[in-house]
Amino acid sequence: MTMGRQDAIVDRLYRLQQANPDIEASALASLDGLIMASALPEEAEEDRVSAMSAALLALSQRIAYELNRGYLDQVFIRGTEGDILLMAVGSDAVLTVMSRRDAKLGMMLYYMKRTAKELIQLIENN
Amino acid sequence: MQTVKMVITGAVAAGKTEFIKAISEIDVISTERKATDETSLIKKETTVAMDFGRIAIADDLVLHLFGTPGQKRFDFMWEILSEGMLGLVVLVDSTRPDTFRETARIIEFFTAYRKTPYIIACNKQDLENAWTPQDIRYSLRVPEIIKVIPCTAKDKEQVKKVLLELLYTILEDAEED
Repeated sequence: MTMGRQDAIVDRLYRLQQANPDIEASALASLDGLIMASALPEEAEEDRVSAMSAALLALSQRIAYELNRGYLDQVFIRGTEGDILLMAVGSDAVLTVMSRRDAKLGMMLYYMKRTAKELIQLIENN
Repeated sequence: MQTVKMVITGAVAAGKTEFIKAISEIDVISTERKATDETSLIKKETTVAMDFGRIAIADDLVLHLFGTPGQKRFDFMWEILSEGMLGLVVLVDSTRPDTFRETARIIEFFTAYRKTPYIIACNKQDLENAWTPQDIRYSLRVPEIIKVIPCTAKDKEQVKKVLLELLYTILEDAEED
């Protein structure tokens, strides 16, 4: 990956967080669990987070298929201190975001979808 | 009906997914994704969460087989999948001695915190450059009491033999306790 492309992806992640302050952190990982870019808090281990994101997405896609729910689009995890959302980015990557508690889910999904679309172009145009 | 949970582990490309697919009587639940790391030099796809398969050994005995990812970055899955397991199969690619050190580390990971019955299955014995189980035993420095047996993971009968060996080991250990 060239620096230019990675910088562009990181920049896109920061803009996502600026556009929607409910989103506190975000990361983009390949589907086999390698970090592509991240805007995570310092204490988060991006390698582990990206591996977990890939595992969760893969297993979720499998259960969606198993139960005839078609192709998986999103995974939603709610904890007592906030939410985690995973969204497939094309067929090569997964976007993971963390939100504060009481975040507005609809707004988060809206901004994530927009970002995912732009990320697909960034990934595929290189 | 008795259910026995077994975990199939080993280094990248040891043949874990193939092992479970060879014997499972249900469609194996696999989570293979395109490899983009150094794994891609060896194979196109890699397991990122787990494999799950099932085989009835007798009318009242069913084995649940859980395969792990091979890469260290998925070690959280090793922990999750080893919850409640009764035994462990460690698969080794007998033709790739460069993976033996990693195999030893994986054995250490699974056996460090609790006593787990396990056996080592030396896969790809059908290939010419395969190390013998005896040589692999020396290389991994496993205790004499641990069984190290040959295997070809694509052969259903051989996979069954490995699982039965592990089952005997589990029963022997249970009698000792």
